[in-house]
Amino acid sequence: MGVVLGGMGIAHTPTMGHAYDGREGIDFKDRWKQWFKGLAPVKQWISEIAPTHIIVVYNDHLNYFDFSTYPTFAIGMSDHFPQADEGWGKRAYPGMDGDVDFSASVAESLVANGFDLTFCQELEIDHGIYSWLPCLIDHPWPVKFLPIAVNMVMQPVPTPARLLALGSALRSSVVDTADDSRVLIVATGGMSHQITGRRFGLTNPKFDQFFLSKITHEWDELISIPMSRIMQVAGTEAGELAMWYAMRGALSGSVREVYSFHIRPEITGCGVIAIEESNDK
Amino acid sequence: MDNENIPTDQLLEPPNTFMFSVRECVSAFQLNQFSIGLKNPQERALFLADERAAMTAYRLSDVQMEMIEQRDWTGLIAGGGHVLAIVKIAYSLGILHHEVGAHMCGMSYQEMKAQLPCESDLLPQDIDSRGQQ
Repeated sequence: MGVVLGGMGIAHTPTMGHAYDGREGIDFKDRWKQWFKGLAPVKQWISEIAPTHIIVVYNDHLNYFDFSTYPTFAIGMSDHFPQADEGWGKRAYPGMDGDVDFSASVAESLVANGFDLTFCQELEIDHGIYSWLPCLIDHPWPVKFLPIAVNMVMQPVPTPARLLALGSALRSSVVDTADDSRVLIVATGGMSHQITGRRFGLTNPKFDQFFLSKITHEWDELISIPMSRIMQVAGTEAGELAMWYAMRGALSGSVREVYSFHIRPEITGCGVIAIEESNDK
Repeated sequence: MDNENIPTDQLLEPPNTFMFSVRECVSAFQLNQFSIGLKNPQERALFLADERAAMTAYRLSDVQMEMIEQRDWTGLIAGGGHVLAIVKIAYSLGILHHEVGAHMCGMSYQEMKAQLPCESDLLPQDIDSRGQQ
């Protein structure tokens, strides 16, 4: 029987990864440094709770999937997930190891609970995970990953209620596993940003702080807000925040916020939150 | 809005916002598949060696090929290109995503950068379904 240790929500952007690597030509370096400094307590927390598995609900950015077939929900089913080449070459980090028995067990449980995901044998992972992963865990990563990719690039995307339900089903699937897995549930996406049109570059730190203040204990208030309304005030790509509902849906009512941090380095609101299950101590 | 250069329009309509749905996926399928293919180093090399040949192989329309030749990022995205696909054309040419963004804003990258951060301070409860305050 597995146990859910807690959840984490975090923003992702390609520039975050390039700034972390110290790549030339990155602007606003001081603000990126503040973001990386702000992540230090989360790195410490993950090290302390020592998960055996991390389930990551994330979105691909046309770096693995293309439009010939686009799954709404897809689950990685292999023992290794290479880094995707997004068009500028791979960064100097290893691939992520998976655990096929764990993945298969979770998949069986999810399907039994109404989530019929696409099974991926050769999933390659882009900045949706790689932009923040090296900031939070030193490689070689001492943990097994189970990536779940959600369509966030083509409307219609899954609803907040559906993602919340996915989280709930994920929690059941972890409890159902035969081994003693200790699982951290991560959701990544957002926060405020928009990358098309004359609103390119729009951010909304006030909204981001509002979202961070509600997700732990007043998430029901967030769920009731149509994603279109969030996209109007915080940019269309803030719609990725719907994936954070899957993380929250995987947690119980007995949780505490360990830490949160927010800054807007350039064109994307960058926030992180760490939430711990109190009954697992 | 703090910045007068950011459109206050919250309607999520062109030219302020380009939404991408299954409809654009169907209408601009070849353009997007061509663009996504450029994540592959071999296809990038083919494109850089002979743009027309690479585009013809994907059966792009004359209008699409001309927009790519003119680096008309806004036109490509307005014509159903997904921004995450179209930027792969730009990356192949050594052009940053931010420059594609500046093109959609109708200004140079340097002008756009000087205006960052661009910020709204509205919360969802501050607007109605039409995006009005």
